[in-house]
Amino acid sequence: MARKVAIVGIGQTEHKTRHPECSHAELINEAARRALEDAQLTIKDIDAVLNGNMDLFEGHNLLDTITVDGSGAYLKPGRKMNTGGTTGGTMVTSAWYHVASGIYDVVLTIASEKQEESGGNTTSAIITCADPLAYRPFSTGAVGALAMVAARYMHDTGCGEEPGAIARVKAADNALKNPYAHLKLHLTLEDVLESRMLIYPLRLLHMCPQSSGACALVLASEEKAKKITKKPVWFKDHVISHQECFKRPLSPDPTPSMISQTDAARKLYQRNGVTQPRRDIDVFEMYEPAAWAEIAWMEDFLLCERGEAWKLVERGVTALDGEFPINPSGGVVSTNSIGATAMVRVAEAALQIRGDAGAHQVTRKEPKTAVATAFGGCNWTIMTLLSKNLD
Amino acid sequence: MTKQEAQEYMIVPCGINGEMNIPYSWGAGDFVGKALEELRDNGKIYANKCPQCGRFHLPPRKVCGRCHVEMEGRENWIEVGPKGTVLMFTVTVTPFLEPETGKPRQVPYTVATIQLDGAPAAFEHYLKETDPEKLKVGMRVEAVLKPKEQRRGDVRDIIQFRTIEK
Amino acid sequence: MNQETKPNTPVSIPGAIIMPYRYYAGATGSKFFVELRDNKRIMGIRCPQCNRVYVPPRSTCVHCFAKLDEWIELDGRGTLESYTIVHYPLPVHPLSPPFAYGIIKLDGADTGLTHFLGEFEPEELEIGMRVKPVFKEKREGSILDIKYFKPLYKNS
Repeated sequence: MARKVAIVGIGQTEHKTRHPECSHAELINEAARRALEDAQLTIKDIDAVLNGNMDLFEGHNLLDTITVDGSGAYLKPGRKMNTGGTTGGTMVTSAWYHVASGIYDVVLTIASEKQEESGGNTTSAIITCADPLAYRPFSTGAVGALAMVAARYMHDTGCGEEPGAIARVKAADNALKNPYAHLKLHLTLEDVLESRMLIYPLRLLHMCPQSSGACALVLASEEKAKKITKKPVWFKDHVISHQECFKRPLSPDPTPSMISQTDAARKLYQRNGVTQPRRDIDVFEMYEPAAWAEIAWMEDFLLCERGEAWKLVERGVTALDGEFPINPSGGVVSTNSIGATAMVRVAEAALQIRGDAGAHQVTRKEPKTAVATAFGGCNWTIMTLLSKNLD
Repeated sequence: MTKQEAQEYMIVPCGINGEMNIPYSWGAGDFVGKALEELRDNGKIYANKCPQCGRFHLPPRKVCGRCHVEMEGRENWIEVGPKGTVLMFTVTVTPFLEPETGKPRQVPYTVATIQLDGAPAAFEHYLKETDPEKLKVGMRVEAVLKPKEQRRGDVRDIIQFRTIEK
Repeated sequence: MNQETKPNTPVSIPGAIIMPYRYYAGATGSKFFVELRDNKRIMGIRCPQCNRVYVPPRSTCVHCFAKLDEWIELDGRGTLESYTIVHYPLPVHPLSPPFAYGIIKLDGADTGLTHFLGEFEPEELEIGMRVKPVFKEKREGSILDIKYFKPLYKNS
């Protein structure tokens, strides 16, 4: 029987294009220290340290071989993991397993990416995820896959280019209020609609940036959490669902629908009594690497009927002050330190529940439940449900 | 160290050449190996069908991804193409680095998901057409193969798919 | 009709992963490399809690998790803790064989520094031997600004 687990500490570095003032070990150290400080704990109170990033992005195989001083893992249990874009989510759920199992009481989990070290080359690294036998020559990494999602959505709904621009401007407005966000741009719809075509039909401004940054969380058992903080954020549930690689020759489904997102959503909602997601969930931090993905995936996550998402976006339903705020943090399209990103979604959702999100706090109603999602190039999904209350 | 001192000491390191250059050789295995051999020697493209759930796989594989049934034997193989229908496409205009060479890819190039005639199995490949105005979902295309003596047993033995009239 | 599902000869697709990278040493690392480049000085950093001295320096003590910023200059001499001599060639090796490298514990440091060994006859190398660094004439701010460590008794 799994124990109850809460987030008791949250730490994040500012996400930027470059962090030349620190090595990768120092970058994760910054996030780790902030999380420990937030929890008012020291490294001695930590029973295990988990560390994650997408190794090939820095050209460093198995990052923990050089970051044990930064993570505080020296002579402690824990592990290093790399699961692509879902790495941050893997770090969170793995930390959850460590504590929920009863074996460890307080765990520090860190996720990071120092993307400047690949010289802005992440697409090339993502292409290496593609099957070398049948897909690698054609793959344009995540960008290409997302471009096809956008093209298909626009074709199926006939919604035109505007909804993508509206979603992007919404994200920019939210990012301006988030001190950790990378891209803090004052955007208009025209800026987005006229930005350079990157990979048809995605324009430069539709795509996430390549950010360097780190995030860390401290998780604790129910007993310890109640002693450590007055504002624990409880893990209610999570679902992980795999689908086949986005690289189509190996996929059963020629359409770009993210079946694993729909599968995860269905299971999560059913297990937790969510019958009307936009009413029962207060905040949704979605891993959306492109503005169009946010729209198309609202439908995959069963947040609305097929063909309806773009209309909700046009009406402002998903804005910070809307009825159903999506990505009050500014989302992935504003900040993408890939290894950290899925953990940042959980961290931001937790900040909303604690009421600590500052200028980008959702205030229309007090957030009591939040969902954070993780997406990765191998196309599996992690959905995490967080709650203010233990029951 | 103060921030100012840190600024003074800031340098871009560091002696060792920052390029990863690692050769690999990936084994195709039995089924994909045979499919590639058929492509190289006979110019044919094959998919296989799961006898339990009916799902098609292209290239053929031994175990169905959905129901885990083993698909021994050639009787489940079906020849597909060379014509097909475009399900999705995208035109890349940004010269991303090709990880196999470390050099920028030639742009523009079009990648599409194509459903080859004969089975509802999708296949990813280049399209000859790179003008987005002339591309559309549902258009008909046909595989263009390299001459037999140039084929190596590799998915690039198909050069690309050209647009054909209905 | 061909009933085979196995190719006549196994099929292998050759390829490579070639990607450029650039690593930042950060503020702490940069000071170490700048001192090597400009002043031919090897700097270490000391932990205020456990007194361990790290070289190359880093900003967090592995044992205490304390922040480190107490710099000390080391004179460069040290003791050879272990070594090996490479006799076979590989494209990825940094030098042509035979070449030697070892772990050197510099006087004043608590950590080992890995580096090449030079100016020795094979039978002269032994664990416990005293060594000192030889710097390159042209230095760039890299660990290779030190060319190698040589036996201490060899005159400059």
